[in-house]
Amino acid sequence: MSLRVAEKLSGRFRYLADDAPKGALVGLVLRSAHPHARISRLDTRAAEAVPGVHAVVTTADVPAGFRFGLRLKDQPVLADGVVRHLGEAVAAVAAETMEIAAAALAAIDVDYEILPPVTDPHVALGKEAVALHDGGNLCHAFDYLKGDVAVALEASAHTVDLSLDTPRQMHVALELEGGVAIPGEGDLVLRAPAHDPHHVRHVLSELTGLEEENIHVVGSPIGGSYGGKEDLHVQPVLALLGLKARRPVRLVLSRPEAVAAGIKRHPFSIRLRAGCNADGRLTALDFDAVADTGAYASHGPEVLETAMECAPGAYDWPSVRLAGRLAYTNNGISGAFRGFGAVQTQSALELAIDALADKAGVDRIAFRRLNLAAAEGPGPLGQTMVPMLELEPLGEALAALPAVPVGRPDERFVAGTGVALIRKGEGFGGGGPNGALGRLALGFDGRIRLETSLTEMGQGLEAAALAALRQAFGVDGRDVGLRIGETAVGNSGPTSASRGTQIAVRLVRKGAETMRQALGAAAARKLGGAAEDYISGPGGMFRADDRRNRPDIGFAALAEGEDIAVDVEIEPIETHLDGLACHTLFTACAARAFILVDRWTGRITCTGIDVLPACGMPLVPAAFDGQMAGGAAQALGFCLTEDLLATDGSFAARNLDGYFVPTIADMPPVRIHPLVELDARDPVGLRGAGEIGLNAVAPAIACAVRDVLGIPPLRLPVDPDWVLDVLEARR
Amino acid sequence: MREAIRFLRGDQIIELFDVAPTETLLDYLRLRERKVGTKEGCNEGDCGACTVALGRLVDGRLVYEPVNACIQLLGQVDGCEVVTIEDLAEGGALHPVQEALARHHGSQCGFCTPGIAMSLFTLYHQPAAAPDRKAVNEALAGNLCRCTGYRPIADAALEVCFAEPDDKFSRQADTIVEILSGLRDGDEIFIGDERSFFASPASIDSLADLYARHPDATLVAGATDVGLWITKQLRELPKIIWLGRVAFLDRVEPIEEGLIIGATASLSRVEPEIARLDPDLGAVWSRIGSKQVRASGTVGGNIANGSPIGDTPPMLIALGATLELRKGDTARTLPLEDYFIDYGRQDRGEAEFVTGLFVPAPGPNDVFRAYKLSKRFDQDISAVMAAFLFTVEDGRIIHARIAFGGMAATPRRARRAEAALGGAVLAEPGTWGRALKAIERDFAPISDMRASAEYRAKAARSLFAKALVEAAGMPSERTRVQGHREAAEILV
Repeated sequence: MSLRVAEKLSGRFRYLADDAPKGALVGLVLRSAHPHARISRLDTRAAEAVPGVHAVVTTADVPAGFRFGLRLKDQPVLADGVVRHLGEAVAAVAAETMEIAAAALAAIDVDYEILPPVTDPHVALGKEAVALHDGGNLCHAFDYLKGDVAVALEASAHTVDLSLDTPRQMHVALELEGGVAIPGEGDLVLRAPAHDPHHVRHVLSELTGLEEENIHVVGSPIGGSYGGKEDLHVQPVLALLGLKARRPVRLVLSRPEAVAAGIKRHPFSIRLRAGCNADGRLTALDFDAVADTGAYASHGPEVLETAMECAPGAYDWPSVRLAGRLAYTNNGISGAFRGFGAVQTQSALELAIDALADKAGVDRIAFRRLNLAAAEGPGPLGQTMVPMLELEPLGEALAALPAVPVGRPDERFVAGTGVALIRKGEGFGGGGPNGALGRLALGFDGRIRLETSLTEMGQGLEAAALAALRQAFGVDGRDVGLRIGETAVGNSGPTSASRGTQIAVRLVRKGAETMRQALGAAAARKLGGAAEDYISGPGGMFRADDRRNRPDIGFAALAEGEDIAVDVEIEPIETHLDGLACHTLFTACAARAFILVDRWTGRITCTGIDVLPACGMPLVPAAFDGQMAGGAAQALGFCLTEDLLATDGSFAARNLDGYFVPTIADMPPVRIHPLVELDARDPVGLRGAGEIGLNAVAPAIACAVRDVLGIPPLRLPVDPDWVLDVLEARR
Repeated sequence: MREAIRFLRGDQIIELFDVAPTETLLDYLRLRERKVGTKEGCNEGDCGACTVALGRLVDGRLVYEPVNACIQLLGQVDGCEVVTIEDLAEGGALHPVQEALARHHGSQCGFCTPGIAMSLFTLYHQPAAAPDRKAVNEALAGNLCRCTGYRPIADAALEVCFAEPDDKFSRQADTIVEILSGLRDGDEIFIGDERSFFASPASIDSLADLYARHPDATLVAGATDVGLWITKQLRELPKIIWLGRVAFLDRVEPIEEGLIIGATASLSRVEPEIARLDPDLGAVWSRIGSKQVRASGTVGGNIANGSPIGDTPPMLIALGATLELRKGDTARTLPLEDYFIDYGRQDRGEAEFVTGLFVPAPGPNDVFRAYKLSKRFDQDISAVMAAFLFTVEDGRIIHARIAFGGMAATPRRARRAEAALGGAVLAEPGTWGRALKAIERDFAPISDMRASAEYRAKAARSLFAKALVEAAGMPSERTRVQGHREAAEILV
């Protein structure tokens, strides 16, 4: 058992906001009670006068026009004259106690001039809509065209029309967004969960005017994120409060604040038309999607691009038209969420694939295998890609899954099965921060450690990196270590897009040979001989020709007076295609889901899930399985229970009692069948496991619903009310 | 009279004189003890990250139950042993449930882990639990985990939670029982002054007296609802009268004609007894809130707060339960359905409080059915809660009591449907039509995030038909099926 696991289990583990320096102030944020309004007056004088208040910050404390974001920078730290969503931060205070901070918040005087909210993304894109940003409400657009879709559909033997609306899913990491700012003399330490500490530091440097080298950001560990903490959350406000108060400040959101102001999954509204020949060969796909990014872009443009790139699925289409639009509205903020746009479009596509297979009279799995994209590419947008030889083996494995008895036919329950086969880009599309810096070093504690700014959020990056270190140097657990998730080490890029663990392991493997030489050279300096005479092993260095039980020199002794370290760099793989961002590296996964529909109530129960990920040989099988089962649970919620409904810019739930995260009773057995052998020609050899299970399971459940009801669901999560109507209509 | 609360923490008896009326156990642990292993995930009892175990004496036996520390008032732990995640390990060795979680990789980000471990700790100490997934599901219904999909957690639970307990708590049980017995002094507790206090009366008379003097005080039984007034609605509640130590108010007494339930008997204590009246009562009972909520929440509270969506009232109304109230020296009883007047309005006078209820057992000619329909199987407020009692003679329904929750501003009987059902023949579904139609006129439900008005109406009719089908004993139907768990069994 690793130390970390033991700490987590015994309650000794510390998350970044668990501890604050003695005397730390309490931070609280004043949030807008309106989804769309102009701030006509903002007076903080009374709040500043409350005894025990050390700082009150508003947009006046922010450089004029400052905005943050990933690619599109459009989000103010504190409302800059206008609020665009309910719960938007307007001002913040730091005070000696929670009570004083609350009193200070209450003393802030704000006058709002209420504006009509823009809540329907389709309406937002219309000509008459009120523009929420200077450039209008079209946040991002994606278009791709290959062949003449209209002609091809006309000539198709079978076509299907389908529409699907997907939910505003909430991440619900159990750890709330929060952190601690510790200002010093001309510098700042900021501890708050983050996927990319270097990016946070960069933004904070621009915000505060401090040089990057004077800001130290710690972003790991994270108590759950799933993408929800990928963008900056409390960091900018915390930095402002800490620097203004010149005292440490701790700020942790309440759950209602996180529900109102936190990042959500983009709701998509999809319409598609697809066709095939009489023999079941796909002919054309015409795919339109409108996504709701809410008040700010966050990762919206990248989400839209990934969604559209994945819309054609794992299939070969002679002609394709893709059109995606990302709209600004006053519905909170949507951003990164595990599955990253793709799960929305994949669900719609796989429903269409089943519908076409049924029309063509071809078995649904056979239909998929018949139409798989070529292994060598080109990719879904015609791009060159890393060969992907696992699609057909996956189809074969899917077909070979043992049948599961669904019990005898029953008056009450109707049973159904769904399958899906998908691929999703890994890492970032063209221009994204795909490269990574890292370092292998021998510490004075005698541990060979990996230094990387990648972060641990429960995905098992630490365990995988430690396993890779042990493997690479033939050593024990006590000989390896990590320094991760902070800006004191090299920039390894974001821990997202399923790349974190994969990159960490590649950093170890790439630097291992040079590091082994460096270790050998150091041993030679200390003991005589040549570098090649020594190899690393449990506890230290051994003479290659005389391997005894004890090392000739222990690692701690080896490190004395030496600086044994190797910088490692992973070069980014870039892909650009006529200005379209697209991926080079893909991961494939298949899934099967079983459901029962209760005819009395329309309720759907998922009774079994199979996941077939093609990620190569997992380093830590239990962690790998955990990613698949966890993704399956989030997929189940996406399909059956989870949606943060918005009315007039206000969410129906303000806490977890009205938002239905699956509990243990909702989870059926999840069986994982990994495809561990990747093709020898595969240059990467290992794929990230973070998202792909979710991406495959959601469409499989959606297809199971269609299997039972005969028609595809119009929206996810599937509403029991609609199920009853469909069952009634069928009688 | 005591001016402090006392509880057992490790091997120490903690005595606190400074207890603010609405201070929570979670704040005490994290801010005063600085034990931050117990996590805050929602502060409303929905996620279970703050789960701790309370050891209490029940009939002289030491029983560990899980509670949500975020909505547990600190004063409520008087007389208990408080066990948190930091207390489980023994020397350097983890507790068996912690070991099993580690072995099965049941902790990813780890934030829910302390709460999960504490829930499993109570399952580990639960006597004679059947070693199956159902028991595990029930034990963990109140613990959200967003990382694992629960699979490794369930595996860990199945591996260790059903053996004879062998940990420091089981080995020291006699000592703990002795200490807790010693803490049961039967004294009145009053901390604070006349304007702001936490009080814990020890008898019904002293309660009546105190409440008469402070009719503006808030009565707290389990605090699973009042806790939310504090953490969610941020209400100022300066005067708290906690009912948990009032003698005899927590009685659970099975008699020939039915069951007597004291107002402060916890839902978990009532569970096995009520299930004996009818299995459907047990099935629904096990889905009220979560284990944490049932360990604190009470039947009296579930009724007294007058919620239109409490799960117990429709069932109890269908069974013909009567409610007993007291004010000063005066007691009165009334049919339970008459207690609910309108939304937020109950038939309870100033300084009057619920003391208990009587639940008649169904007779030999009665068929009882109860269905809880919610978005999520466990730990979810009902969209529709339905209960039916049909009295059958010679295959005819001669009398019916039908009550619904979630369909109106109060839990309410479906009088039109009841009347229209008179004389219906169970074997002839054609004779049910009038009643199935009538129920549509009994209610005008509303739409909310749990269900639309249309769905509620459809589901009410559907559940009514289901109850009739089951009462008629139609062979093709699986009866007494609540949903997911039984549905999964079809796959066997």
